[in-house]
Amino acid sequence: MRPLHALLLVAGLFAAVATAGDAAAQTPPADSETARLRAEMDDMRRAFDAQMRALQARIDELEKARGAVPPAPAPAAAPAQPPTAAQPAKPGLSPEEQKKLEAEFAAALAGDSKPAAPEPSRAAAPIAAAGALKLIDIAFDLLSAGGFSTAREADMRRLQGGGHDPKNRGVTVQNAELTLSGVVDPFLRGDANIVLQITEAGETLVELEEAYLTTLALPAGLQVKAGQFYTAFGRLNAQHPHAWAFVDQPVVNSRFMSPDGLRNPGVQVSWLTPLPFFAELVGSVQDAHGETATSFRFSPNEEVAGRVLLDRDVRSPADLLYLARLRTSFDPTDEIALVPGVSALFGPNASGRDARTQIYGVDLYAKWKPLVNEQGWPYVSWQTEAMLRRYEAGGIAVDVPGDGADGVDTSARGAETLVDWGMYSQVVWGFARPWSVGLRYDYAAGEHNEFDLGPNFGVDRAYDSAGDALRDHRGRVSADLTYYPSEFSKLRLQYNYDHSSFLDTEESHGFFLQAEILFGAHGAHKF
Amino acid sequence: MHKVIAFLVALAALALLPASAAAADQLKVVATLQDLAAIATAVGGDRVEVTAVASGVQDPHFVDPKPSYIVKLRDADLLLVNGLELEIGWVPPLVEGARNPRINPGAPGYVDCSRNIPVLELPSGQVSRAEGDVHPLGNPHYLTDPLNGKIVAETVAAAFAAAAPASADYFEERKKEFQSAIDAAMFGKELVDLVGGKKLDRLCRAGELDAFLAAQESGGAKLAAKLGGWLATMRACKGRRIVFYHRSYSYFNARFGLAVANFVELKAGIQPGPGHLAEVVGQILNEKIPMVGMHPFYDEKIGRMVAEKGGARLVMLPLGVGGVEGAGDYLKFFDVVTDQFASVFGK
Repeated sequence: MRPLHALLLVAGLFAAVATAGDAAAQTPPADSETARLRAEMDDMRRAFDAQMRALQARIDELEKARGAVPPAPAPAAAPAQPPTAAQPAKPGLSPEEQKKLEAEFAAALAGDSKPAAPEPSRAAAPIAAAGALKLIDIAFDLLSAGGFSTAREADMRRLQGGGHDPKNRGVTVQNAELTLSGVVDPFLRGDANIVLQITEAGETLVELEEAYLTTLALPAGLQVKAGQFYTAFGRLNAQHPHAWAFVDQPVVNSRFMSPDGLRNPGVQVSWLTPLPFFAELVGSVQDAHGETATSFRFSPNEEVAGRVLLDRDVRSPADLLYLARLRTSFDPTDEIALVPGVSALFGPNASGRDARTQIYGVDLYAKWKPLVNEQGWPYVSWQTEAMLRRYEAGGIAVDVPGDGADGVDTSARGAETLVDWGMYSQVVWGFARPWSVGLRYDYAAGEHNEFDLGPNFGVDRAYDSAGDALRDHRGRVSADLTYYPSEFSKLRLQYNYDHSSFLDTEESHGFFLQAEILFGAHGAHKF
Repeated sequence: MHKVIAFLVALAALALLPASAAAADQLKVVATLQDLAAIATAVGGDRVEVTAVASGVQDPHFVDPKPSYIVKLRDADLLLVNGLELEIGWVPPLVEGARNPRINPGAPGYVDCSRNIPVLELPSGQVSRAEGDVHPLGNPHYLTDPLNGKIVAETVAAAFAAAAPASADYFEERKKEFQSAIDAAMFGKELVDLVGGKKLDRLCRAGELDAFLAAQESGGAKLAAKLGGWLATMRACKGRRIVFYHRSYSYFNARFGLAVANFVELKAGIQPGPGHLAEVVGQILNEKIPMVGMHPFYDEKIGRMVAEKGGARLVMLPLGVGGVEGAGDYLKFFDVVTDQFASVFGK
């Protein structure tokens, strides 16, 4: 900056002198005139100096704000920034002493005499030069689809069981999602996903899909998540629709995990084990109620397997929803990754006072991607999940003749355990940038039971599992082709072949064209 | 149920075992890229245990955050990242998954190696994704300038010394050796002995090296005649125009005086259209551009077509250490690269 100053100063003086010279040439010099000119010049110089000082101050300020990036660092001469052991003059602490002292301080800070937990951070790391404060990342994702099915629209809605599935002939806004995330403090991060949906009635719904904290600095490989969040069961349940490889949700997920995915307020603890390979244990406790937990305490007066559901209270901790999951991973080669997992869910269901549900699942994700790849292409990924649900359908809310009392009779007929299962397996092949093709097979079935087509226990019609879109024998084959103009947009064409025992025609064909745009800060996807 | 409990207890017992008894006094360092790992090894010697996440043949923008990488980060004392958002698609989930407070951003163990780097191509004014997948913090491929490698060595040595103060002298010594080796390889040993590496570095960064070497004499000969190393190998390239695939060699090109006439990839992360490719070929023919530079992970078919139609040579360059055979460490990387340029332009 110095040469610039000199230049400006010289230019300013030149200008002043030139003005003075002009003035001198025009009028004959007189003493009073000279004095006036001198005064004028002095004024100009003062004004100029003041301006220069102001400019210099501004420059200094800016340089300070930029964090003073050295324009030409001379590494050999630069002193090491942190204190090093090369400075023995400093009456420092030995590492052991430091540790001990830290432990004492930690105990004092905690207000008790327990041994110290590791402190979250020792010293503030230098803030990156020219950095900007990053408070919140905001992104908006819009997923919409045009669809057509050979099934009537009423049937199409039952075939496409997912909350975000395109369910009618015509155009659907599947998901419009506002994603917010940010680091709260050195200990916590916050995430929120707010979903806007347009219902079949044309109304716009706002849904707090997820809003939770994640701990960043717990010791011993632990991490806690708390708030409203997707249950970590299997792979697909916790993924957002824009990360799916197909337009719609697998049938088994719509049936067991709820149309919108299994999520509720609660707390999750996960532990990264110290084993030499990746192994993560996850446990969570969440509320078991509502339409985001249809296999559990689904809303009263809804119907599951022909039973009208009760308004069931939480009477003990056993009436909450519990998850246990183990996720592991192995890389057989540098180019192949395997991620197998097992999960189990336990919770109450609302079909009876003491009725319970268990869901067990296994999942496998495998991906091949060569090390030398062009922006992620080519790749092959294979994802499979299988789930089994035991639904203890309890006594139903009927007046059993002769009982004389209203409400639930625990000895009511119709109490039985319904065992349903389902699976999907999908392969996606990114054959050439920026294209991929996918193939998915879905199967789901509910077992017939004694309640089937039996006497009408207060329900208006006889129940028939073969006619229940959530329990019938269902097969589906889907194929899709996706084009990615960039990382932030995609176009997808999908065909579905459905075979379903509840359909009059048994078979149907569905066609979808999906478009996605994502703008804003896009966080990295979990593998 | 008992079996489950026994299993959990066994796992918990494992957790309490000391992390690694054998190499207790070695710092565990994980580097996101192989270049950073190479510099860390050079500075840290046998007092650090260095692991790289991505290998040099990979495109550092597109690395999958595989769970197996989380295990590497779990036990690290230090995590070296390239920064400038190069690894934005994969390092955040790895750090979060690793649950290792030592290497969280903001902790001393999270070492952003772009610190103190004079960043090029910092966007001025408003940028948007209309220009493709832009890097708002500037071009992140700063390690393609050997002089920047010396700054990274400085950052790495400081981080090592802070984490293991007892070995600070050792790291300082090795860092200086590494920096001297870069100077010698960059300017030639003879010139470094005459002028000093520090001064050459300063002149080179200020763009005054040529004028200085032309003006000064030693032992009756112009200093320019004593220039050796990579700068001598690259002398014939100075001021020449080339075509590149992506803005991945901006620092290298700036340092060695090459001008990029055009890019095959018009906008980062977006496939180039045929119109643009034809335009590039036209430009190559017009300006008689001799070389199209690219990396093995880009679309070779397109790069080769552009080069062949324009009558230019396609040169497959590594983007970092380990990117091609022979580029095993940071100095060898530049040996390989400068030789490749010399094979097109002569020495």
